[in-house]
Amino acid sequence: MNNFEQQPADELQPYLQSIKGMQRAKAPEGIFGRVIGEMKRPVARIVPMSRLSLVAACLVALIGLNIAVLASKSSNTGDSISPAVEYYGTSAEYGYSY
Amino acid sequence: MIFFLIFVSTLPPLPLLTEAEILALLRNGDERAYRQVYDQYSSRVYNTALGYLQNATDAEDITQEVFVEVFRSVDKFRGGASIGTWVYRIAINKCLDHIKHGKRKKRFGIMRSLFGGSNEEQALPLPDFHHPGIELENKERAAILFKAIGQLNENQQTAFILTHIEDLSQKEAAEVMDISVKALESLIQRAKANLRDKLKDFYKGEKDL
Repeated sequence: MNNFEQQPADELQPYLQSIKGMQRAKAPEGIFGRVIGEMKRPVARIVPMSRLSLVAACLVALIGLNIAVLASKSSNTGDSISPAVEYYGTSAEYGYSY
Repeated sequence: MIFFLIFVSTLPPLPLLTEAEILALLRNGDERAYRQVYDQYSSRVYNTALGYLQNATDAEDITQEVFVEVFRSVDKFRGGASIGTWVYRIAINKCLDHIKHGKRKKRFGIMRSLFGGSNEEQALPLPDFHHPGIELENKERAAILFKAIGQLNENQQTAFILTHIEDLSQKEAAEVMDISVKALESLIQRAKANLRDKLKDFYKGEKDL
């Protein structure tokens, strides 16, 4: 860019200048002691929500499968009775027809 | 007797060690290694936290949390980056989590106020933040700038804080953010454009005075 050209005023520049050469803030005393104190405390184990929901989903699936198996078993037992009923019913019908 | 107690309670400082040696000592729970890492990075962590949170008490708490996590998770550190980069990453994540948590609390407060709950916390305006490292004559402008920095999105905020508040080189900041220098430059450009936009009115007001 030509040095003689007038550059438009940069609105940001004065604000950037205000933090130029700023000193890094020093951490207050006593934090290290707190860190060491915290390190000596036993760690509480936190179970992540994702793992907890996975376990819950597995339990629901397991219960669902159990219910499905029980339901199919009971319906199978019903099926084994019905042919006999049908047979006797039919023979009775035949009997009455004689 | 007093001399003996002082002698016993102050462990001799560690000689100059390589990062691998420091990591090995940290893994063994050596308190002198903790002290060395803390002394080397505590001000960086605190200053970064101040840039994000703009509150001294919150920055102190975050500094404590960062070092507890650094020392506790040192076994998980694979050594792909330097200790400094790793510490910065933990600090940034902690700060961003803290901000998100604060926003969630604020949203909850608004919801509560909508449903008739009290909203005393909401009514209080945020005080101006005065960074302790800024010279007196610049404090007012810097406070306005910090307010605008707080409104940037996460990535732009991080790029700006690392390069302008923490004064890291672009290469160092890119490494901390795990992006290319080009991507960092672009983030800084966008951050500056957004800041310029946000500060336009303040600048006009200053010129009119």
